Amino acid sequence: MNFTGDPRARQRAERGFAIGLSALLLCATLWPLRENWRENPRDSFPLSYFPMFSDKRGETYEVTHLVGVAGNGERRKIRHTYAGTGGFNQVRRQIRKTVRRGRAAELCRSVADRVARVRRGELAEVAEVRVVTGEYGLNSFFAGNQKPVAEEIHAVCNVERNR
Amino acid sequence: MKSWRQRLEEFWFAAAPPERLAMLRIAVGAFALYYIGARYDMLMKIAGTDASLFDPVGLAVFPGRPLAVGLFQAILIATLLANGAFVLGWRFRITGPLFGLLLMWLLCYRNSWSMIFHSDNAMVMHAMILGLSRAGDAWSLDAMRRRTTASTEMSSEAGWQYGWPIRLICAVTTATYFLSGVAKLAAQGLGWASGEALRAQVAVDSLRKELLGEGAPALAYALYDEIWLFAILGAGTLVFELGAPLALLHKRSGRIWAAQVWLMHVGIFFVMGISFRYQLTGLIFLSFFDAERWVAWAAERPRIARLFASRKTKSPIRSTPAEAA
Repeated sequence: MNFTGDPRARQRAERGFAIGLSALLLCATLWPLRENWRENPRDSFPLSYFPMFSDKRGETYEVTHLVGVAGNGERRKIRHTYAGTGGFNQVRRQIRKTVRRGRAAELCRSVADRVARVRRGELAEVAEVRVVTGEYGLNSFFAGNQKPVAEEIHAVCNVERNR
Repeated sequence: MKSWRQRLEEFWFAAAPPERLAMLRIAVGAFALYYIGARYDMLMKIAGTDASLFDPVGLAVFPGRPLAVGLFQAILIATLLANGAFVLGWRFRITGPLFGLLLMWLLCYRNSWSMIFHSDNAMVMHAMILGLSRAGDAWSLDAMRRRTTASTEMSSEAGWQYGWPIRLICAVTTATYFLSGVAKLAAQGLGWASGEALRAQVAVDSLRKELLGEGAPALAYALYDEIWLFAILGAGTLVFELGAPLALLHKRSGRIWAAQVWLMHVGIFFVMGISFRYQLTGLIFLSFFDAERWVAWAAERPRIARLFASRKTKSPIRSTPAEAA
């Protein structure tokens, strides 16, 4: 930002602008602090209260995700990129949101159609796609037992490769 | 005896050379250009995502609903063009604030599809501050034009006009870390530093990555049972986040803080596989250093100077009187 006119008036105006902008941006940056003590805090951008890594976690954790089931019944992981775009965390949240809104079947069909186009690798053998919410024990998961403690199936779709 | 107001003014309006602010403009602008440019296709795909997943944040409340993909593309291209002008310092009085505003809108829109990326906040704020400052007074096309037209609008001397934006960038940077520390404390109290909380965060992140096909870093498994290590890292994180405002008090403390927090991001990268690029490159902390001196240092090295021989600057980099002394 540049200022023009009489040098002394210009300096005064520029200093006033600097003070005003500094105060405004600092107050705005710190304003979201109050979200920490709200019943339903809401994060925003670019003014955030930076809640990442702060949530209290229990001994188990639920993840809504996609599972591929091969013809022999084996489970295969389906990468988040089959469900959407925008990065891992964004797609993860979108999957959860879609399921919460009762649109799991739609998501399942769209992923199954994409999986049907895969001709090589593990996903080429997948015959069925499931949208599930699995509950996992954190300690047992890291001890090597990667099976869910409980699992809710939201939608199941056949992979139709000959369409 | 100086009053607190005088002390505050002296602190906030400490003189700095125009090249220091210019260095920040070029570095932050170049990073933004890479960041947005490399994500062009992804941003276009996001713009075409299911409208029901749109939940506007920040400036994206204007218009508050998904834009037509063509209109979004026009804004994206305008942002990249303004970004180029920002880096070059061309018509900075207009392109500086324009780029700050466009970048903020663009990233608000990008963050409106169910996920807020906390790695982008500082870059947006830094670009906005730089865009509203005199960051185009040196090392810019405007400065070259000024030399040929002998305009008096831009100063080439060190002054408070170049110091306050740098202070503000440092203050906003430390404020974001402070906020992050308060959020941890508000959610779990000092217990967050016990190690259990941090380990649980790493575990949840790894679990999500495994199940969604991303794959968790091997270090997350290797370190899971080392609760003492998570306790040290957790306590250190809280100290550096809550103590962030102290980094503003002294140049050296600012640099030590910046180095420690950078190391924290390196640790996050290796253990969680999260690459906060603006932080990992160190650019978020550049305002804590006299980065323009690195250019002078490089110019003094014969081998490096030879590379840029044809573009050698005519005037040496100025320091403030205090720094020169």
